[in-house]
Amino acid sequence: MRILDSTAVKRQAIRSGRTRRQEIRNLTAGLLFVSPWLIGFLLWTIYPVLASFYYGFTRYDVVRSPYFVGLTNYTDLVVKDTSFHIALGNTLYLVIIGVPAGVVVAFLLASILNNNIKFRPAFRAMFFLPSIVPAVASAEVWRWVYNPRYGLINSIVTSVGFRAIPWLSSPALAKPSLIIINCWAQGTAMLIFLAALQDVPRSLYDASLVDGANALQRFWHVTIPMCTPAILFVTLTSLIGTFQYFTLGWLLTEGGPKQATEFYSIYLYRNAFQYFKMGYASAMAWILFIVIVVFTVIVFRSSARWVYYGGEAQ
Amino acid sequence: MDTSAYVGLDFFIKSALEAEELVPCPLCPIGNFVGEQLTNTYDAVNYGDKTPEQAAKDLQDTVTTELRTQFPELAG
Repeated sequence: MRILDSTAVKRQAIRSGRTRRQEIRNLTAGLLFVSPWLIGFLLWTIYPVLASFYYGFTRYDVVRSPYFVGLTNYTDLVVKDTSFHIALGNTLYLVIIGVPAGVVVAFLLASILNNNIKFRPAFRAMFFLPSIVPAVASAEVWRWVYNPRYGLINSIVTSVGFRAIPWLSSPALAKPSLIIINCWAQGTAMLIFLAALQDVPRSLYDASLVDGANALQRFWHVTIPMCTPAILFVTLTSLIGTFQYFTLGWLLTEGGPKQATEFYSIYLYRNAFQYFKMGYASAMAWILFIVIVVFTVIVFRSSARWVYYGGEAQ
Repeated sequence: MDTSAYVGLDFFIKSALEAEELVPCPLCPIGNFVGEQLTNTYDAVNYGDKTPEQAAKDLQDTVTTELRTQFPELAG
C-alpha cells in the first residue's frame, strides 16, 4: 500500500512538473509575441510619462543637464505666468462652449439624417467627410472661407452691403470662428449618434403616439433620454480632445490675435519646442492631466443624474 | 539709383557701399521667447491696450526676467 502511495505521488509530481514547464513555455511564447508592443509601450509611453513627471520638478533645456528646482515650475505657472492663465482661460472657453455646441450640432444632424429624407446616403457621406479630411487641409480651406477680403463668407456679406467680418483677426471672433470649424467637423460624433438613434425601440415612439405626444415631445422625452449613453461618450471624448486642442489653432492663428487663441497645448508646445523649457512644459502637461481627470470625474459623477441606460428605472 | 526718393533712403544705400565686413547678429539663447513677446507687444500697441513706451518697457522687463531665470550667468 505504501509503495503504491509513493508511486502515485511520484507520478503526480512528474505530471505537475510537466504542466509547470508547459505553462512557462506558454508564458515565454506569449511574452515573445507581445514583446514588440510591450517594448514600444515601455519606451514610448511609460518612460516619457515617468520622465516628464521628473522633469516637471527641474529646469531643463535639453542642452544642459536638468537642474532640480522643486515645485518652482508649478508655482510659477499658477501664480506668476499670465500667458498660462490666458491659455487656460481660452481652453476652458473652448471646452465650455465648443464641446456642447459640437454635441448639439452632431445630434441634430444625426436626428435629421435618421429620417427618411431624399438622398440620405449622400447627405450622410457629405456631413461625415469633414471629419476624415486632414486637419492641415481643413485649415487651408477655412483660411480662405474666413479670408476678410476674398473669403466665401465675406464675399456674401459684403455683396449684400454689410462690412466684412474679421473672423480670425479679431480677438473677440477668433475663438467662435474656431468653434464653428469644430462644429463643421462633427462627422464621427454624428455617426455614433446615428447608431444610437437606430437603437431606440420603435415601440416607445408608438406608445408616446398613443399617449398623444407631438414630434417635439417625442424627441425630448424618448429620443434624447434613450441616446444619453451615446451623448455621455461623445461629450467625454470631445472634452478630452478639446483640452488638447492644437492643430487648427496653431495653423490658422498661431495663438493670435492678442493671444485670443493661445490654447493650452499651443502654449505647452511653445514652451517645450520653441523656448526649450522642457521642465516647465512637463509641469504644464501634468497640470493639464489633472484638469482633464477632474473634468472627466465631474462629468462621470453627473452622468448618474442624466444618463439613462435602457431597462433601468429612471 | 535715386537716393532722394524718400527721406533716409540714402543712409541705407551709402551704408551698403561703406560696409567692410559682415557681422552676424549675436546669438540670443531666448530668441524665440523674445520673438513671441515682441508679437504680444505689437498686439498690445495695435489694439490700443498699451502705449508704445509702456509696451516696450514691459517687453524689456519680461525678457530680462526670463533671461535671469534661464541663464543667470548671462544676465549679469
